Amino acid sequence: MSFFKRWKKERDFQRLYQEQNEFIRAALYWVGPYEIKDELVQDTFLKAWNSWDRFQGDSSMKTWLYRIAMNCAKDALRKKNFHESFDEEKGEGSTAVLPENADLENREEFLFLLNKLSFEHREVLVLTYYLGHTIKEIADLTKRPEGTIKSQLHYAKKFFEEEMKNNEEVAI
Amino acid sequence: MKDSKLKSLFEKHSEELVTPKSEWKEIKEKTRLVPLPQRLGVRMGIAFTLVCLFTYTLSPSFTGNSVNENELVEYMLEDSIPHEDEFQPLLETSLSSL
Repeated sequence: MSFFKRWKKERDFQRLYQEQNEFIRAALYWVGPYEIKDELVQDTFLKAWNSWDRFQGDSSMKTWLYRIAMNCAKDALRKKNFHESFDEEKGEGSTAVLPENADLENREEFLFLLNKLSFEHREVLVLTYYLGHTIKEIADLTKRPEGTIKSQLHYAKKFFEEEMKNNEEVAI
Repeated sequence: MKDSKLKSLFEKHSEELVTPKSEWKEIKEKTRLVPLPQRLGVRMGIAFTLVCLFTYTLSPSFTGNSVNENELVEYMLEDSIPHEDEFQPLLETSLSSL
């Protein structure tokens, strides 16, 4: 690779990190395994660097990077779930119930509930309510139809409402 | 659950979302990104060394062009011819043997 080509690649890569670092961190913070969130951000940027020349430009850099990040998160969750496969209390779709008098103002309990949702539902919820993206933007980022995003969002909200409602009934 | 409630919950629980200060440095190390001035410095150092080597190999002291070839041959032969005082006894010995 010529000196100037490499210099341009480094300059663009640094710019991408500066512009998208916070967005990627925020998305991974809620969607990926919490314990290794910083490692996942690094992994995402390293993978982006290594596959830089394969970027075709058919989507925006942000979308491309986001998809790399989500693949990193899925891989990490797969590994985590494999290790925790004997523990029914943990992991996506677990049947464990929210403790009585659960308070969503408590971070652990909020995460507990969030982690009971599937990866895609969690992703849509975070992109909408935390990162403030519109349905169209989420559809572009995730490459899923707008209708699917709408129904996933509806389901995720309903899930939260029902879990809280059940919890209140149990508490009474 | 109201949208605003969900928003506020996400915001409340993401207070510790901070970028580690050394993150970019670590990424740079792992991708072997070296700052441009530093890289230019290394390249200029290599170029300077090459120029020095090139100049030295072309210099007269290296190629030997500064020495007159005839003088050098004479100098080398000088030692192989016996001196006059050594030559006389040798000649006499040779003649007497005849």
